Amino acid sequence: MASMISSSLSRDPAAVETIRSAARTTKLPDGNSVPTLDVETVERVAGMLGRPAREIEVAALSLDILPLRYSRNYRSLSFSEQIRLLESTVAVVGLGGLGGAVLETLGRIGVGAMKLIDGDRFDDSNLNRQLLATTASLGNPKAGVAEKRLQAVNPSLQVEAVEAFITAQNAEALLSGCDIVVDCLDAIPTRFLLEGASKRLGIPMVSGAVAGLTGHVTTVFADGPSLRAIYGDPETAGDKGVETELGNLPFTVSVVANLQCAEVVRLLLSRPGNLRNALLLVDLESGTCERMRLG
Amino acid sequence: MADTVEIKLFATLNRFLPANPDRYPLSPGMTARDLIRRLAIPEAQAKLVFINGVKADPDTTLKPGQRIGIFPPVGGG
Repeated sequence: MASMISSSLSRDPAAVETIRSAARTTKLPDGNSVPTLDVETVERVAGMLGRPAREIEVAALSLDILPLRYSRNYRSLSFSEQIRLLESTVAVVGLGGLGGAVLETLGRIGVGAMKLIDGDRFDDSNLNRQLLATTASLGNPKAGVAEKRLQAVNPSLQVEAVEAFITAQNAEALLSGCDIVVDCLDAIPTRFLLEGASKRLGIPMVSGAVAGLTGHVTTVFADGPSLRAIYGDPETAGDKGVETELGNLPFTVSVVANLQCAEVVRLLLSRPGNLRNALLLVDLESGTCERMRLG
Repeated sequence: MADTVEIKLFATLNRFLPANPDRYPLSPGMTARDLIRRLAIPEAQAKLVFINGVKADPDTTLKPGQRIGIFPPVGGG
């Protein structure tokens, strides 16, 4: 992972004592009691030690103390897996339907650092499906609204909002240092541009796309098949797919966005079953989800 | 009984679904591209062809009992 922040704080005896003495025992739904830190205590200890809240949470987990905000991730995620997520950096590119749902889920599960990239602003047509589009946010930059949302959900995260569209000029600089890129874009040429930069940087790209009641998710690796396997030659692939005819329904967007999140977590935790050379097709018209092989 | 394939058409292509998609009759030597033409699907819209869950070249000859999935380009976010 990009940074290893757990080591320093948990090796500082004074910091360890501060964190241990701030912990309180909490009974979990399975009946077991474990030492925990609530949200307010994380903030207070961060202030006392002059360190970011994310570092306090990582240090606590390494001392077998569970931050309560992640208590329902446990035991589907182990303490060491929660640390790994907190030490990961993910770029979410495109902050519309897919992106807005992706950052919400990744922020809640505790992906520690996120780069949120979009140069667009919210408009009326976003309201049917984009979680961050509200009557209050209309006209506002998507990146700024997304950053505020994550601060409200999980202020322990390190969030960088970039109010810019991804271009050939800025892509590599923006994505550099990220562990995963999440493609939540809505134009096929820009998806290819993002794929090119991700491949050159050696960063896996989790790509999601939707139209009407249908969508799909795949992961592109530097040494694996390209989006060409899905869209064909970029020169002839066109700008948009059949979403221009079918629109984008909110439940399709949520399902596909969260399939992307499941894949991001799978990759960050090196769990088996990732979507290398595979396309997960969701068809909510027939109520089916099928994993297809791309070659 | 005639040899047949099972056809599934996604999104906008669903309107081209024949009356008997689960037992669509196969003529000898028929390829996926022949099927696409016979169903009157615009070829540019038949972006992805899957045979038994694996991406296939449209010029692949179909065999009895196969499941054919045809998918248009989907790019929304």
